[in-house]
Amino acid sequence: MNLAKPTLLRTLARRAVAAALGLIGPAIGATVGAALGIPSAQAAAQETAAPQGEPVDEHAGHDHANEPHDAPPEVRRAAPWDPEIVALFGELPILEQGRVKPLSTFAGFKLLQLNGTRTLRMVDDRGTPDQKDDDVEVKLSPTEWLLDCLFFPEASRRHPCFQLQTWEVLDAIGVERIDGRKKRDRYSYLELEPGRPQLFARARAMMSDPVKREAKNRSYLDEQLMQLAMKMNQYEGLLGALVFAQQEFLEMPAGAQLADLLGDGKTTRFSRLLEHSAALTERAASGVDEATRTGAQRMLRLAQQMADFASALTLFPPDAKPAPLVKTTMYNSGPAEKRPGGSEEEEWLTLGALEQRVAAGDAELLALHLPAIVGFEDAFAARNDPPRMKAALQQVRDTLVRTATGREQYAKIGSEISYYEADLFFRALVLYVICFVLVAVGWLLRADHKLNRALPWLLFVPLALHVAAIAWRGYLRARPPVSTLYETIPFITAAIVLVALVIELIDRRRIGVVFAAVLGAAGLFLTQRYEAKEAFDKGVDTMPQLVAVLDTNFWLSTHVTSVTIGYAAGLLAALPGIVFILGKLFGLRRGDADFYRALTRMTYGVLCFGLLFSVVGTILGGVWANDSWGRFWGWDPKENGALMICLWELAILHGRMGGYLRDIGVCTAAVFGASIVVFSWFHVNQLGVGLHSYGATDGVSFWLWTTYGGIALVVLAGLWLAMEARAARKASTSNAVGPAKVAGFETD
Amino acid sequence: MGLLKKLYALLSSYGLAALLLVFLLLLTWLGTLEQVEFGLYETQKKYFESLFLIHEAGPFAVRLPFSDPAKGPLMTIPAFPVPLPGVYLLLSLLVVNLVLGGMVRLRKDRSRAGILITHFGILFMLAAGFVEFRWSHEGVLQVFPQERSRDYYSYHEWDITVRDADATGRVREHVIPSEEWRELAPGATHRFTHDALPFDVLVTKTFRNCRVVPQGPMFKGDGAVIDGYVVLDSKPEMEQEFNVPGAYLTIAEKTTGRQTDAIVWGRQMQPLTVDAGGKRWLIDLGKRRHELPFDIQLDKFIVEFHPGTSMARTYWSNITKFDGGQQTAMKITMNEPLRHQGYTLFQTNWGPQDGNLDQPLYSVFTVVENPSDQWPKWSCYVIAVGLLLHFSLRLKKYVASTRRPAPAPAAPKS
Repeated sequence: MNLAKPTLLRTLARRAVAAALGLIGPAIGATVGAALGIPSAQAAAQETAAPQGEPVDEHAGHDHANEPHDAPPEVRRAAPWDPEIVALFGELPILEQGRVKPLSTFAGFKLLQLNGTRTLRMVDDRGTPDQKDDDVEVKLSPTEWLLDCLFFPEASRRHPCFQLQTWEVLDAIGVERIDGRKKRDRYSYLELEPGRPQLFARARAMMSDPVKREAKNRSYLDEQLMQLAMKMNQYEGLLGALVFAQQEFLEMPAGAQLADLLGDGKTTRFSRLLEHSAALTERAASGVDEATRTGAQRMLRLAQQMADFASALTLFPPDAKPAPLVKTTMYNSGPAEKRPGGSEEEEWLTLGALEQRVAAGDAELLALHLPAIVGFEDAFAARNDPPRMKAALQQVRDTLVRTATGREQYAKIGSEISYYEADLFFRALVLYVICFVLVAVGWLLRADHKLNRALPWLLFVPLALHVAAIAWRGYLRARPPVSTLYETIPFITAAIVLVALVIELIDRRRIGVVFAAVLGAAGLFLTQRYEAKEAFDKGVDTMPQLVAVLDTNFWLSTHVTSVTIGYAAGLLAALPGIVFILGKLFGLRRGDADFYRALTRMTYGVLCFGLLFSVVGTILGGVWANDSWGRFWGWDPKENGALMICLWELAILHGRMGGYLRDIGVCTAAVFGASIVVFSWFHVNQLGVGLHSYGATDGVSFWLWTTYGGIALVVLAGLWLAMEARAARKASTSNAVGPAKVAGFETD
Repeated sequence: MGLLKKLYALLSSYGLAALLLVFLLLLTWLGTLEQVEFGLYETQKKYFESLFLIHEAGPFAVRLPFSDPAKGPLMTIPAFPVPLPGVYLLLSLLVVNLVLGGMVRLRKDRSRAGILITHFGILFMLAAGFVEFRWSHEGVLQVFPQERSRDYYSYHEWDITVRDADATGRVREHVIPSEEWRELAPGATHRFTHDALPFDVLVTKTFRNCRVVPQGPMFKGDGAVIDGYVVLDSKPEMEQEFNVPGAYLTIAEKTTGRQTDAIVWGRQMQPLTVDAGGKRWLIDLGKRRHELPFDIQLDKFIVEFHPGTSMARTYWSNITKFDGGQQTAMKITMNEPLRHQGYTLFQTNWGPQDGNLDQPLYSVFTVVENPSDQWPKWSCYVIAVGLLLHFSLRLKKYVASTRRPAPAPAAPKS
């Protein structure tokens, strides 16, 4: 098969590879560049190779901003991505972080990790950087951004997709600040690249420092540097992921008799190397002459290096047989036991791993995936020709999806794509905000106005979307609604909104609707921010696999759900308390004792509701611990946090029944209770001790202490009001006798 | 009011209940924070299993909000001691309060039925905790494939044991429990004797966590040099199970009066050998050994990882239980322990953690003997029923009150 292409295209492809190889690393780049006869890559790599004995700093010092005169011209995308190509590409399955997910999800969280948002906004200079009048502002979706990274790696280096939290990071790596940029802003790879050697040197130094190796011991700047180094490393992995597909660059070795395998042209392509790797292996060992043997060896080495560059994407299922969603099983006695779908065979493969298996003679695996690899090559060749690219990607999709479907690992991919496209949490958030505006308008109207009567029912609309999103996640994960710290946030928010609406339907004072709208919007805003933060700091998506102890839907749906509802109630109980205290403080509805009595009743009622779930949930947690760790109670910080909520709520109820807490006391105590809930919910995970420390979140301390500070101010105000009220009572009823009578509840 | 009546009123009061609950909350909070610095074991002993304690509060650094941390605090309040009641004492008082106030004194009518049931459930749960605290014990059983065992070892307790070196089969061990020697005052000596032994064992110095090293210029030991070795005292570890104790012993022969000094250490490879009374004896310091009334054989241990990660998704052991003449094949996995004859075996771990497919993996079970094993579960049901009943009645009353028509406005005074 003659794969010769027009000379210009071949030249461009070779130059593109030179650029990509320069990105990937001098050591490898030099090898491959030399093998490919690409002087620029070879020279660049040799110029910048790390000294002997030093950790390899991939492509250190390679200044793409000042590329040498023979640097390849950028191949740019000629037009916006065809939506059908975006959709096709986004549907590809990929194994990442222990689960099979759509490539669109992968792209979404990868962009979130680098960019801080799922949308990349940038100025497209239309190929003429020195002319500003043809610049247009464009927005790229995550899948479009990933397509750019893979199919236009040279041009995508100009995308400003690295969000830096502070420009001190630039100072630290010796990159000059750019005029017009804010302290916290986004930068392109090319803008950061001059500082790359320094960045990686600092990251290496931190990793070899026994103290700074642990993130908690790093300064803020060091942590930002470490994160940037990891993100640049991952980004480079994406840029090199389709190096193998940049065809027609593999020059045939002179004098080697390989034409029957690799074609009689001067160059060949990766898929042909892979297809004939078994025969090449044979010729490398026993070719007819020395030139053939060394030629075959070189081509095999090239194939392996090309494949290894593609390690950022784990795209290839090992077979098409039904398999459980787990893999690698370690058997400690006897031979590895074959389970349905294989045992150690269950791991999905990167291209590098696939190449190794094929080179070792796995013809079945080759036949399974060769069409996809050819499809990638064809798609790359046609990257500026949408119809041809679409056809090639369709071939990739068909191959990979057929295999994943055969393994029963594709069934929920479509649903997951729809889940992220629907973005129900965001839509519900918008509706909560609209409802809040309507609630505010309603307060200006008569209580029996149509709007006020309709508001509770209107709020059920965002709640329905909100609950649907939670249920949808549960379906995708085959888990109860709460199994991660992230999932506690939308769940608690939904529980709060529901309880607030029930209160409103009973009480009809338009207080419940305020709580529902405000907390619904605030909770879902927090949900969005937490998702972004987790992705930005840790690079994880919000549907992670669970540790072994959590692999139980029974306990997740009973203990975790109960305790989480308890948290929700603890927080909700604080809200009427806050309104009570601030209302008294600022003279809201002065003299309306009924209003304040209603607030106290709400607080008390929600506390009772919360106590039920907190106590039962906490004990169920003990029962679970008794089944998994062998003890009912271990004074673990998370257990203690749940116990503290129970103890505080019990103390409030007993204080109330004993007449020690009047209305203001109950409300103040409920507000203080919110700080205990926050401590239990988030803070104990930050302590880094105990069996629940797997839920830690970096960088939330500031927000925790800010929350505590806000609560403390309200509590202090409540205490001041309580003392004022007590002094007033003393003054007016100095000779009163008998038990205290508190609003709405009898004392014992 | 007589003194007894006053005491009864105090012990059964809401005020005491609320106070105890607040103190329990405070102790739980302090004990949680303290774990970060001192580890769970120490904190548990100090805060949760004590009658009284001295809490070291502070030091506190006073800063202005949003001030630059690099500039240091405005002022620092030095640490100061705060005497507090321990959780053990608080829970004891809570039981008294619960019985007197929450059951005896509580008005017995329909509206209080839920509270009564709840209080009973809480008492039951506290009883479960007490029984576990006093009478349960736990340990670890580690077993390789095809290996059979009934011995499990305490996590925290270490014993000095003496046995006949030439004995075969089931060997009689003379045990000096750690409770009897670990809290040795400086300069004090504890002597242990037994009729069957030709020598007494004198414990002269003990170490909670230590290393035994050859004496040399690099180390200054914390005791006498014996056979070229010396004990180096080490700072206790955060996790108690990582502490390795040691002790200086003197072996005093009963007939000859000859005394020999020796060191025993938790990590010594071989026991100490003593020739006395015409026999050879072995003295060892090891974790306390318990025995199951049945045998366990590990047939197969399996661990599965989430694909492409090093995170275990699940792991389990296929075992055979040998009890009398009966053999039963069973499976123990996370969240599904084996319960038999009052013992519970939990799948807690495996090792070596960095093992590969070619290495044999051993399985680790936590063994617990706890007479109140299932009591908390039952108490949970009772409490749930009680709370549900009580709060349902309250809700009903609350809803009814909101439906009540508002009272007519009072007629204006003429």
